Amino acid sequence: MNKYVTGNAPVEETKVSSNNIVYLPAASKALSSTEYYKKNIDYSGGKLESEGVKGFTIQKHSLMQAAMREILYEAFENITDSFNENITAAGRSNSFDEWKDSLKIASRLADHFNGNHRRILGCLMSSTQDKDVSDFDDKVLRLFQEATNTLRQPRVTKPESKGIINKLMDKKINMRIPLNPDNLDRKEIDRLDSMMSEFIRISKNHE
Amino acid sequence: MFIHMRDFDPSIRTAAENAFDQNHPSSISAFSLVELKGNYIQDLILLHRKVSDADCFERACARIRNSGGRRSYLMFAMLISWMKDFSPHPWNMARRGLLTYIESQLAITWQDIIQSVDRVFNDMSCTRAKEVPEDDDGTWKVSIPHCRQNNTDCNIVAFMKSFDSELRSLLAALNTLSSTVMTRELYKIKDIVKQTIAGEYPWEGQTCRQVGDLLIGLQSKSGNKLISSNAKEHQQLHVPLGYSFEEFPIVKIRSK
Repeated sequence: MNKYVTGNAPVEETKVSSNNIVYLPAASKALSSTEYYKKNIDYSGGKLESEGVKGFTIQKHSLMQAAMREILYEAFENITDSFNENITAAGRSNSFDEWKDSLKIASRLADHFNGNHRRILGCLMSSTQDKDVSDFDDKVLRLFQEATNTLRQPRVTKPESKGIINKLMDKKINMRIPLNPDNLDRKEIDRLDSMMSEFIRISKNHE
Repeated sequence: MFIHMRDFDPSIRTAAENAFDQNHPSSISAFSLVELKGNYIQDLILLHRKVSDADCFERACARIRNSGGRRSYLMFAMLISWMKDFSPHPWNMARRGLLTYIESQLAITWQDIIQSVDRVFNDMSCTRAKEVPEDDDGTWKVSIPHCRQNNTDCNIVAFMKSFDSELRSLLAALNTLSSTVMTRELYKIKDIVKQTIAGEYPWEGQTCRQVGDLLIGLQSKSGNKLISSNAKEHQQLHVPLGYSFEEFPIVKIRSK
């Protein structure tokens, strides 16, 4: 059963993995996603958009798309390496952590993501927060790989995102974020209030 | 109980998860689903909307505080604190990050509660409990309409009628309680039980949501015991209504 082929993937570059997921090709392998991100994207306040300079906006948009492709490709490679038996334990752990970093960058950068992309991405990030590769077995890591590959599609449908989330739930992956404010104690409330005040101050300073 | 799996205190989260794991077969009252929608999912949707619409971080904060109140604002703060590396600037990036997490929680919460239990008791065929949160191309809808003849086909009236003797015992017990023990919900339960015994359960509008613990208590008679943190109400309800109750002791767990 082959899955997830996008229209812009040249056939000769498409690889098929042992678990029958079709890998999409990289946009460019010259730079790592973080390097690409730093080098090409000046995201200091979205000034190009507000200036309304059409050419710059288009240029920025295409750079963003290329960067996103690269980030997601790198994320896919990293999660694949995290259960590669030919890599050392330290290497697998680092790949897993880099995968998590790439997902975080993607969540902030991807402006083409729809709600279905975000659902999958949010579930991946919330289930792996503060976790290491050793907290998951190979079956779960392969599921993370499949989910990451789905994120690389330009469009993700509701059944696709639901399918991935169901699979994660079936594996008893905890994706809950503790957001119940009912039993917060005074100390915690004060801490949250002061944190929010600080963020509001930072935000105002940048306006 | 389900909400405690999302408590800020890890010891409470673990204890709540264990309560589900160690008590199979576990079940919830369908009415708890309505409460989950009203008390948790609606807050998530509010965060989603206000963060989507705001053009900067402080405006998002102001809108959440003004529309959702302190509870929603604290929820927003909890999310930001949980993210650990949040930065409000640039807002476009911060917003995308926030929406990614909120979107995921909206997608999993309903399913999570259904999958956490072995069974959902719905003897009363609550129409509102059957209404799953809807995602209409990124716009979430989870309003809980007032119950009316034309939008409700539950059998809550027959359900309540089948517990006539229990309700009479409850009324007698509530009449003996001092005002220090009576909570606002217990007063409401007393009032509704009186009306029900005298005629018919006044179900229209939002009656059920005002006496949720009474409905959950009656529903618990189908199971072995009810585990809940709402001890003030269930301590008074469980004997006259005839169900076993075990308190989920939040304060005790936290102080350990």
